This record gives sequence, C-alpha cells and structure tokens, in this order.
Amino acid sequence: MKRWVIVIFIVLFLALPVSAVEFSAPTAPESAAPYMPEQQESFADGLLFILKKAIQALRPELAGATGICLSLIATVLLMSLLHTFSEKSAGTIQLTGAVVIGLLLLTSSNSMIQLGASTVTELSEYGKLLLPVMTAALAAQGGTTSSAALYTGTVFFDALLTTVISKLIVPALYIYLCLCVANSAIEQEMIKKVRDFVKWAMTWCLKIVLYVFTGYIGITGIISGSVDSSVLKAARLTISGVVPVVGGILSEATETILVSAGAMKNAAGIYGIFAVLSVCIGPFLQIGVQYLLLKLSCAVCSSFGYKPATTLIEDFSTGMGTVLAMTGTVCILLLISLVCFMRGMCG
Amino acid sequence: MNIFLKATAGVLTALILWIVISRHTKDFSVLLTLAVCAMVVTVSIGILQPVVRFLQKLQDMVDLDNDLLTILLKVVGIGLITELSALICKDSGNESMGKALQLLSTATVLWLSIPVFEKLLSLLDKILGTV
Amino acid sequence: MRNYIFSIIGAGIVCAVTGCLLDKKTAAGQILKILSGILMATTIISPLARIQFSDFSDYWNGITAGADSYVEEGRASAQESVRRIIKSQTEAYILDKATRMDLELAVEVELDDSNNSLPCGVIITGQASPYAKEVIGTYIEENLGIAKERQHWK
Repeated sequence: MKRWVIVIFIVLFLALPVSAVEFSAPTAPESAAPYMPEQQESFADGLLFILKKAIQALRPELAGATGICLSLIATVLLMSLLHTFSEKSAGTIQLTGAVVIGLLLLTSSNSMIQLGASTVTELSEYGKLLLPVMTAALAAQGGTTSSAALYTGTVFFDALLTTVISKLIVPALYIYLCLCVANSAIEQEMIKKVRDFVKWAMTWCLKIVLYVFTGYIGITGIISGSVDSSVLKAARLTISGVVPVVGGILSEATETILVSAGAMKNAAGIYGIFAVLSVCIGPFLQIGVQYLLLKLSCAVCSSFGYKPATTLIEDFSTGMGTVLAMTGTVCILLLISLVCFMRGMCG
Repeated sequence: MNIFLKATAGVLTALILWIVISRHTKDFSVLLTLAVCAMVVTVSIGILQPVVRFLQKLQDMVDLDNDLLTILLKVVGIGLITELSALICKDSGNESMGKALQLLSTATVLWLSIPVFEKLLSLLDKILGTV
Repeated sequence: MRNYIFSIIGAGIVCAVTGCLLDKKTAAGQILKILSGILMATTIISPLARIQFSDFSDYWNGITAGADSYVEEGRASAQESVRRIIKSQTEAYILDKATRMDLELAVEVELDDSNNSLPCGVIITGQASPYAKEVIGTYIEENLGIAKERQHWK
C-alpha cells in the first residue's frame, strides 16, 4: 500500500510542471502491520487481503475458544444430570454450577474486554495522527469550512466515546458479568433488574454517541459543503474576470492543485481506511469468534433443559456482544469520518 | 448473644409478673411495662452501637454526606421511641395520647428532614445552573 | 469511578440498615423511606454537579483552534503550490515569445499578495534591441496585464 501511494505521488510529480501539495497518511501501528495490503490493484482486493490475513491469524484463538465451549457443554450436561437425579439439592447445584461456569468464562471474558479496550485506545491514537493530514488535504482542495467542521466533530466524538468506554462501559461490563453470575447463583429479582439496567445503559450510551455523531456529520456536511462550493464558485468567477491568458494560467494552476490535493487526500484516506480496518479486524474477529461460540454453546446447552446455566452462558455472550459493539463503534466513527473527508469536495 | 438471651428471659419473666399484677392493680402493671421497655431499649442501644459505628466508618470510607446520615439516624431513633411510647399508651387504655405522640413525632421528623430537601434542591439548582 | 460506585453501594447499605429498624407502615417509616430515596438520588447525581461546563467550552475551543491551524496549513500549502505554478507558467509564456523572436532572456515574474496571486511585475535580464523590448513589453502588457511601468529590464 505504501508503494502504491509512492507510485501515485511520483506520477503526479512527473505530470505537473512543479511539485504539487504533499499529504501522506501516518504509518499504520505495529499491530496493524501484518494485515496491511502492500500493493493492491483495487480497494476490494485490499479489503480481501486484510480479511484473509485476519482469518489466517485466527486459528490458534479458535482452538482455545472451542476448548472452553466444550468444557461448558460438559459442565451444563453434568449439572442437568445432577439436577434430574437429586432435585432436593437444586439450590446447591445451581450455586455450584454458576460458580464453575463463571470461573470458566470470566478469565476469557476479561482478556477479551482488555483486548477491546486496547483496540479502542489504539484506534483513537491513530485517528489523532491521521485526522490532521486529512483536514489539511481537504482544506488544500478548497474545503476549508467542511474540513474544520469534520475535524472538530470527529475529534470531539472520538474523545467522548473513548472516555465513555474506558471510564463507564468497561467497569460496567465487569459489574454486569458479576451480576449475571450472582443472578444465576441465587436468582433474585433485584439483581436481575440491576443487571438489565446495566446492559441497557451500556448499549444506549454507544448508540446515542454514534447517532448524534452521524447526525452532526450529516447536518454540517450539508451546510459547510454548500459554503465551500459557493466560495469556490466565487473564486472561479473572479478568475474569469481577469485577462484571458492570466485567467487561463490561474484556472489551470488552481485545477491542478485541486486535483493533486484531491488525489493525495484520497490516497491518504484509503491508506487510513486500510490502517483502521487492520487495527480493528484481528481483535474484532477474536471477540466475534468467542461471541459466536458462546451463542452456539448456549443453543446446544438449551437442549439439556437446565435453564439457569443456559441463561448465564447467554449473558456472557451478550457481554462479548457489547465488547464487539464498543470496538465496532469507534471503528465505524473513524471510517465514516474518513469517507466524509474523501467525499469532501466531490460535489 | 448472651445479652439477647438474658433480655428475652427478662421480658418473658416480666410478662408473667404483669399477668399476675394486672389482675389486682392496673397502675403497677403500667409501671412494670414502662420499666421493662426502658430496659429492653437500653440493651438494644448497646447492641446497636457497633452498627452505628460501622455506619460512621462506612460514611468516612465512601465519603457520604455526614448531615444526611445523622438526620437518618435521628429519624430512626424518633420513629422507634414514638412507636414504643404509642403502644404503651394504647396498652394503658389511652389511645388518643398515643395518636398525639405519633403526630408530634411526624412533625419533628418533617422538621428534621427540611435540610435534606434543601440539599437536594441546591444540588439540582447547581446542576441546572451549570447547564 | 471506583469511589463513585463505592459511594452508591455505601448509601444503599445505609438505607437498607436504617430501613430495617423502622416499620414502614408508620408515618416516621414512610418519611424515612423518602429520605433514603433522596440520599440515594443525591449520591447518584452528585457527580453531575462537579462538571464544569466552562471546562467543556475550553476543551471545545482547543479542538476548534487545532482544526483552524490544520486548515490554515493545508490552505497555505495549496496557495504556495498555486503561486509556484502561476509564476513558472507566466515565465514560460514570456520566454516562449522571446524564443520566437530569437532572443535569449531570463525572466522572473513577481506575483501580488492577493488570493488569486496575479502577476504584478516582471524583471527581464538579457540583450534586446529597443524595438524588441517594445514588442515584448506590449505583449506582456496585453496578454499578462503587467503594465510597462512594472516591467524592469536589466
């Protein structure tokens, strides 16, 4: 991908009478390096390359996750048998079962939550390096108002989302998982209600931030886009009023810079999209595999007829779903922003 | 545990004594009831002291508002004393005094609660004022 | 966050302990229930009172200042590139005319400071007859809008 960017730059350099504007995306973080496409003919090929590399890297994780799920199924089967043969000890079996399943799942859930949180931090740090480049490139292309609005909105919402995730959602996830285990062990209405509230609060926070960000981008895009278009039109009108030869030179120079800035911006934007996806794809697939395998285990265990254990496994899979959601939200926010930057002055 | 068993034994003994005395004279039975209730309340206060110390320790640990906790404990104290006193009045055959006492306790508790409501209003004012 | 969670748990314990001591059917018990609710509510919403919205506006101003600086960087970079292109194209235009007249000249064009970066002056270095200078001077004035007073021959 780096070579592709350099090739574009060299072609532009040769085509122009003098050097054009230069904007290049910051290098992708180390964790994303294995997934970054080196030289792809198209955007789709680049995406396929990232996906292939991520799936190849997933195999060791898959083995570990499958082992945990098989242990879960065996535990639930045993509990179900015990419950059938010894109904008087139902309370003890329920408590023991909840503790065993909790112990089996809490370690892996903890590592997935930490993975999600570190991915969010990495995405945010990369965004802080990439956004100034995209802002300057869009401003060079004539989109001064839209670039400022896009940068301000993205940085603010990214900081808000990262703070909400690190200070609220990650602690709330641990509280949620503990409440799930407690509810499975002693089945109290109060614990169930608090658990449902925590789950609702986490999902609601993520949704609200993303909805408000999308609304902000939509509205400011329309307003600032029209402001920039009218400024460009006014500039073109001024050019057309000068001496024809000078006007021709002026117009040619402006068009050249607009085109080269646009090309550099799009190249940086595409590299940025690949980098964001590369940072995100590995952890996303790891957490996704955990989520899917837990859902599968839940489906298998539900056939044994022991509801408390099935509900607990489903709660843990919901927790993994929340980790997926928080990682995905930050990724989507950056991708939307990058696409808006790239679309900036296309009309 | 010993104190609880001794107090329970004392109350049951006093009850038997009350049954015997109340057949002959009602005045002494009322006095006996008062004495036993006072004894039990004294014992209960002694048992509750570690609980109150725990609540104060909790308040220091988690940085709860001192005034609010004090008011809550005072309300609990007033409520318990009033309940007991009203029941003694009822047992003595004077329900109207008991009701008057309950009215007095409600008024006192409401008067004690005013700072709590003021605190809530000032907190809301601070939040909405900043917004 | 840790302190906040502990304060809610602590308030909950206090309310539970005090609630156990009084019968909720009595008037004092009812009032205690309300006071417990207020204690929980003030504990839960107290962090909101500590938020300073002036901090938020400072933070927002910081972000917009950053945005403005990056926008200015991009705009200045593009402007500089446009000026370079206009200068070189204008010089090439004049040199092309000079070559057609069999003259060997060196040209340096000056641009004005407006947004459009229009050519406003020219310094021509080289040997030329007064007739050739007149022809080139008129050519520059008519085609490039640079008045003869702003054309300097060396």
